[in-house]
Amino acid sequence: MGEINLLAVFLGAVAFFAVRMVWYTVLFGKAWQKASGMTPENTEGANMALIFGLSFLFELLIATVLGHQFAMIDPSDRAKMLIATGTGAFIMVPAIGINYLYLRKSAAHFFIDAGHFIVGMAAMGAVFVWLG
Amino acid sequence: MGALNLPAIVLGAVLAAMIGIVWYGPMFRFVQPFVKDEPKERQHFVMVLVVMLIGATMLGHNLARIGSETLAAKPWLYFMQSGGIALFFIIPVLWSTYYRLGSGRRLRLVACGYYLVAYLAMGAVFWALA
Repeated sequence: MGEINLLAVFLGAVAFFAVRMVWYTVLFGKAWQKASGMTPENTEGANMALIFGLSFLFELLIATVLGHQFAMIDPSDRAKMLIATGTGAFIMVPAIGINYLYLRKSAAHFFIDAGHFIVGMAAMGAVFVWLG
Repeated sequence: MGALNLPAIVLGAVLAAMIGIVWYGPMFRFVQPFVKDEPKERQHFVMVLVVMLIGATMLGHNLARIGSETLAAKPWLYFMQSGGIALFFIIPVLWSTYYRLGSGRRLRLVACGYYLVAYLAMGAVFWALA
């Protein structure tokens, strides 16, 4: 299975999570609320701790598999960034794109969420590059 | 990187899209229909096909990097790669996105299940056409 860089896995997940926090608050918080119709009023009952915890666990899972891939093929720094960002852009984003089409979500909603996955994966890839 | 298996990419994408018709048709139409009678909805099939072509190309690229010799010795890698993409990249993204939007568990399970089955089918096509 190869030697997985566990520190990079953990910090990669943290980087993705940090992108998520900045993306949906400072950068596109209001635009996302408007596009998705999810305002603070109608999400009052939502368990935010569970949502954040689950998101981080999933980001940890994604980082682990990415770390496993890197351990198996030992790519160059450029290839690491291409693989991480490409996974976001060409695997994750198309999948949510199809589903948003059928859920009749707006283009603005799609682009905000899609951008988050691409930038989040790029941040994760950058951590793997940084930590070798 | 080895050569991309173009017939497998095209056939894999077509098969994945066809599975979508059955998945969101006879099987789980009650959760989220795949194609309705409205003309606009029919165009969505083309979008699904394009998206699956992108996915199949990425899978083909991954498999080409592994190389035909390794794949011939370890054929389970076709399914580990295809199922792994669905299980560890697509499903976490879909599940967390749907959860955040407050979508029901049934919708989440059907959507995630579709990607797992579609990608495993794609892996089977690559294996069969190796």
